[in-house]
Amino acid sequence: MRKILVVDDSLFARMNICDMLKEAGYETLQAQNGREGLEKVLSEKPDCVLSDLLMPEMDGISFLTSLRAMEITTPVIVLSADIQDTKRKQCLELGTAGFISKPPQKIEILEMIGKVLAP
Amino acid sequence: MANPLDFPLNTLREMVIAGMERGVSSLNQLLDSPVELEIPSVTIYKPDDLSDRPNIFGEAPLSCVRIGFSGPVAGTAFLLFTPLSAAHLVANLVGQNTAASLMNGIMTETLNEVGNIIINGVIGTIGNILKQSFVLTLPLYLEGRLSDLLKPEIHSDSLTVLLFVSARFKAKEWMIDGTIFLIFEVGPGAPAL
Repeated sequence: MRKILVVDDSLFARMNICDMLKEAGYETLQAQNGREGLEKVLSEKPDCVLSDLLMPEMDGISFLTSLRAMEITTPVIVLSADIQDTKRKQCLELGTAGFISKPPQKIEILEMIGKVLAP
Repeated sequence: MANPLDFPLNTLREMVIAGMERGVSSLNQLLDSPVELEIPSVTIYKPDDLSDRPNIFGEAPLSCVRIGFSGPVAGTAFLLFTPLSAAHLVANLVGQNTAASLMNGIMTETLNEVGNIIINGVIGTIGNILKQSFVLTLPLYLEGRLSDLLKPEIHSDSLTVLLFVSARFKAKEWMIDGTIFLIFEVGPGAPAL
């Protein structure tokens, strides 16, 4: 079963996203911020990460920067309420696999994960 | 940093309306139900106007999500609900049958996330129109009278001018009635009003 890590400080967001993913047959893992996310990427080796941007302790941009610095190639899809074009461009420059605006639509998440995980 | 009063008020109002429409559209997606937005009103105050009239915004307690923003202009955004509307909103989003014991814990989490989505929609749209970046703080859930919630945002500098932009929205089907409230703080460089 494919494993998806959801990194978001909002319990409400994590619950919603994980419910969508479980219904679609994915195994889910959760982290509350970028630092926890980084630990879980290293220890659990998820197939894909869905990450928020604005989080305490370590935000999404720092999380993406750390993954890049560590040469970790796990695909990260950013899922954020921040709709600024400048932020989206910054994420793309950091190698994010996709960008989804909150509130997320189930079909949009599943289509993007399917595309990212396609062989 | 630009001064909001450097923008003609109509331009500012148009940008804020576009932002509020985006924010309300996000709420519409969350609720899967129509949400009506009223035309925003723009009011200019000096801090003394507010301290002289502490009840200017009414006495009713409110549930509020507050997010600060800085960038081309700086200020604070609030998403305000009556406690009953906030309860209706959370019940709708997490399920009517959620146990009461769990409801209190999830209420703050849920309102913070809703505030985060709506306020980011408002400020992000303004940033995209201006082609500049805003930095936003983490959402903070608060309860109280609006005048008390605003106090920390209002500095006593007599030269400061506060530009308030607010708009009410309603999701009639779910009996949800809220207000998006933005304060732009204008420093000493502001033109005399």
